[in-house]
Amino acid sequence: MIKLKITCREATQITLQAEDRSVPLAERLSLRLHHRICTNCRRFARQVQLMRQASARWRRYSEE
Amino acid sequence: MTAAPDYCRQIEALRPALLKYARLQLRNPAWAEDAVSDTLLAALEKPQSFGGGSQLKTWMIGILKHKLVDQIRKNSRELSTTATSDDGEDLDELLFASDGHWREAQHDWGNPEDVLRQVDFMKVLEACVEKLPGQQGRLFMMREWLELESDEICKELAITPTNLWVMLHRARLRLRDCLQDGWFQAAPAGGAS
Repeated sequence: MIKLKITCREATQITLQAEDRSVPLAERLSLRLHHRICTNCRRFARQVQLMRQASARWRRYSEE
Repeated sequence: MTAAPDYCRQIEALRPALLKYARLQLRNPAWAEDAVSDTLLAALEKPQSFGGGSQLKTWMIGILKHKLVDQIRKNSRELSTTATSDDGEDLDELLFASDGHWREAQHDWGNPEDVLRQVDFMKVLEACVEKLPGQQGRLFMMREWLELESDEICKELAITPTNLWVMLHRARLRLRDCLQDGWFQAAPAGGAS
């Protein structure tokens, strides 16, 4: 079941878990709904995305 | 086959770099020394397996990654028992109010391209990874630098997926905090002047 209202704390948890496991569809949808109304959590998700790209760049940097 | 002196010198010159990443991964100076020695030995014993097509350092880091996994296996029992002993403070409690809302507004980190092409950012990132508490740092490195899958990490260390996610959650929040303070606050939106 899709939880219509999740807190920022729950949204953060889902965003971070998505880095390390496949997140169920219901949770992804809850997160998407939450992002439509929450600037802070959108920004947080973009920060996590930047960190993921940074890790990839760092792996290359460590070999150069 | 004996290695040419020039080749030996080049290999030996990479020792400090290898040691840096071995320490970041293992968080144990003795194990890190072992992994680096094994790496240098492997490279000296089989110079013919270095194709020369890629950079020597790229090849050596590749060997090191295998030796690091060997060390993790060898010491897995000790590693799994330290699983939650070095957490540090709980960032969740600091970040969120009791109703689950952010306590403070979050910052826009700007365009990733502008940030990531700066070598100084890589140095700040390394410093932040180094500051992670021991087990969080190890797990983060296994996931992001060794590029192991979550279930492989759980198997090697005999920890549960939930335990792994909790530790990685904390590691990523801590890293984010450190990058915010060490880079984005110091050089906002797009970087250093």
